[in-house]
Amino acid sequence: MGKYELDVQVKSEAGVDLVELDGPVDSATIEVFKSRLDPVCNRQGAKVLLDCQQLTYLNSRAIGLLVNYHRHLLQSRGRLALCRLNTKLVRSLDLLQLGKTLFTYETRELGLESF
Amino acid sequence: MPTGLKFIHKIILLMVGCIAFTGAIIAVTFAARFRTELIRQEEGSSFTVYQAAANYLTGHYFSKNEHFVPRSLGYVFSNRFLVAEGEGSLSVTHRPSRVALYEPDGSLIYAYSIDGKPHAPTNVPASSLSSNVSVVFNRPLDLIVVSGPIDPFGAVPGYVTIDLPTDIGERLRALYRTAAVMLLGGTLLTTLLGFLLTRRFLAPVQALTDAARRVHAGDYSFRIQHAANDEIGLLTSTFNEMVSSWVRRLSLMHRIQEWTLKVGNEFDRHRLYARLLDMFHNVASSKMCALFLRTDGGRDIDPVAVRGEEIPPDVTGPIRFALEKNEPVLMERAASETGASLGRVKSMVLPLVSGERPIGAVYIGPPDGAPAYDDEMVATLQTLAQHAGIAVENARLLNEVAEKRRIEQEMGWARDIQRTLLPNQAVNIPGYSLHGFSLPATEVGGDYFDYLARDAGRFHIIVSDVSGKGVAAGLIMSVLRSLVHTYSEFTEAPQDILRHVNRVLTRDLDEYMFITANMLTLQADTHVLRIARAGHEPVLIIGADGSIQWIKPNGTALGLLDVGSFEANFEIAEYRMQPGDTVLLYTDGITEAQDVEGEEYGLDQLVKDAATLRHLPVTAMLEGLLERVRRFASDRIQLDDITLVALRRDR
Repeated sequence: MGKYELDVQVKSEAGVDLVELDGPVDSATIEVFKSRLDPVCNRQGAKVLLDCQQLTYLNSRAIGLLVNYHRHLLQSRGRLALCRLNTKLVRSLDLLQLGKTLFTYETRELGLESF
Repeated sequence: MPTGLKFIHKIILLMVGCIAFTGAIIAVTFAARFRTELIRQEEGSSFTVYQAAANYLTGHYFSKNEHFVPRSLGYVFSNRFLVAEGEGSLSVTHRPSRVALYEPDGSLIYAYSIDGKPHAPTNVPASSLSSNVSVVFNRPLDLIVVSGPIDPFGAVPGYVTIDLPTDIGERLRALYRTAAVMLLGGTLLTTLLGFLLTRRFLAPVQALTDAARRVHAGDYSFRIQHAANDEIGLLTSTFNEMVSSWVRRLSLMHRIQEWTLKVGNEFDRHRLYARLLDMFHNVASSKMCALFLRTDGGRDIDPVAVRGEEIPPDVTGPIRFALEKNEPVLMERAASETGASLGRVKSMVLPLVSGERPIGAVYIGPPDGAPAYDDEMVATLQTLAQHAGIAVENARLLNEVAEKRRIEQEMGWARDIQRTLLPNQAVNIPGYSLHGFSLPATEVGGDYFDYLARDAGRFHIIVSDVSGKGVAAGLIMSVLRSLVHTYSEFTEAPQDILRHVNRVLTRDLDEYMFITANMLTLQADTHVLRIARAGHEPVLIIGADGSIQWIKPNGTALGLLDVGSFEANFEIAEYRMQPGDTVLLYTDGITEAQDVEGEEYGLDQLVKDAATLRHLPVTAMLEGLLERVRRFASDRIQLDDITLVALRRDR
């Protein structure tokens, strides 16, 4: 059985807000996801790296949120990046043609270095 | 009603009985003592007569040469004996009625009888003659009989017996009659006095009895007038207070019943709050009242109804305390304030509890016209608060049920409407078989599929998935349908239709929402299939031989990115349909269907099952696929909308 709760940990590392996601982002946890990421990603010029290694599922609404955060941060000279995406998430982003829109990295180090 | 003697009559009877018994005891005691004294007095007098007779007989004996001369004795006893002792002439009080002299052997010497007849026996047993003087009262004959030796010293032989008539018996009978009359009279007098006095003294008790009877009969206004400063006065004033208190309670109970009925019949929440507050305000006669309920899932507390004066700002703390501790907060006035005996609670916060959970609180301000609430009122208001908590919770539950029913009904309507937006049968495409269905996870779904027949053998087929589920997704789906139907009337190419649709949706959609779609346009006569993909799952083509092809032209979801980004990366693919080719369009509700372990059905399984079922007619093929997905998911509820469309070129 998979995990049903989402755990969101926000850390600061080298001037980057590192957000570790553990669990699924589905209709039951989307509000937790949004409430934890809104303060981080709505900050002007924020540099945010989402570590998706423990992210088991990302529903379409969450993807819409990520695109919106990405758009907002770019406008405020900040940036949103994702790292350590699982194959399913990579496929989802690929289907939506977001691979070229969102910044994605294979490792956390590469993600941090990108800032 | 009580039966038998009244209490007052019992008291009188008891008192008269006691007095009569006491009187009888006194009368009998005094009568007995008087009788004894009277007999003793008579016996003393009789003994004196005996001594006088003995002296005379001794003198007579020695003067007659130690003989008794009957004639001389008869003269003396008939005419002279004791005459000298009387006062005045012949005033003799103790004249013997009989005198008899006996020899020591018992033979009669001389006998005198006042009536002249011989009454004395001529012989008596010598043994009956005692050397001691005896005085005996013969009650039947009213006589005192004195017997003894003629000379106590034995100088004169013989014995004398003297009978003295006496009125002791008559005097005793008179005494008894007098005592009886006095006893009876005294008893009657005592009874009368006792009756009068008892009636007077027990009048308040009778008044209490009558008052209790009248109150019992329903006359609650009756009060006893008795101002005496005694136990009865205390009892009377206590009774009056008790009746007044009872009347107050009865009135309060009636008011509470009325309010409870009003509150119990009210299920509109806002009217219920108003009625509850009216109830507290009226029952407590308070200057102000306010009803607070938890809001925002219990995190906040807001006033929902207010009565009377403005609520003081410092009640927030007590309200939070009452809700956290689930206890009433009674705010007391200072002890120095007057009328402390009337109660100490000036205002209060009472939690409204449902089950064991406080769902709100009522603040009751100071009473209007009284310094404080007494304990009885505080207890009553606490009871009302318990009722109020239940009423609020019942109304909330009822509203929830009604709301749920309303939503269910509206969702049912929405489902029916949405069903009409989806094709209920496939269009007829010459040389092709077409079938599709959509099963929403909830009443209303965000999946959309459609077939649009246009001129010159051109057919559009669309399958789309709105992000999210439920009503919001269903509304967007209906918008999408309208846009597709509209633009497909004027535009031939599927990518152009989606471009137009995207321009509208990018402007109007919620910034977090988007739509993925596959739009296919079939030119039936040439078998050319043009495919536009907007971020949706790729198109699966299963050949007649079971070969698999994925067609996945570039294209992002509708409404996800800005229009420029969408159109810059948008491509179209073309495929010429071969005989037996089956085009399968689906939404992620199929591939992401989960079993009880959380494992997904997956793309690979879909391809495998579709290839297996390709020989079946498209309708049976899709039903078979759905059956396999359901079997895989077992009892797990459907998590996402499921849509399947299959287009096959006939062989």
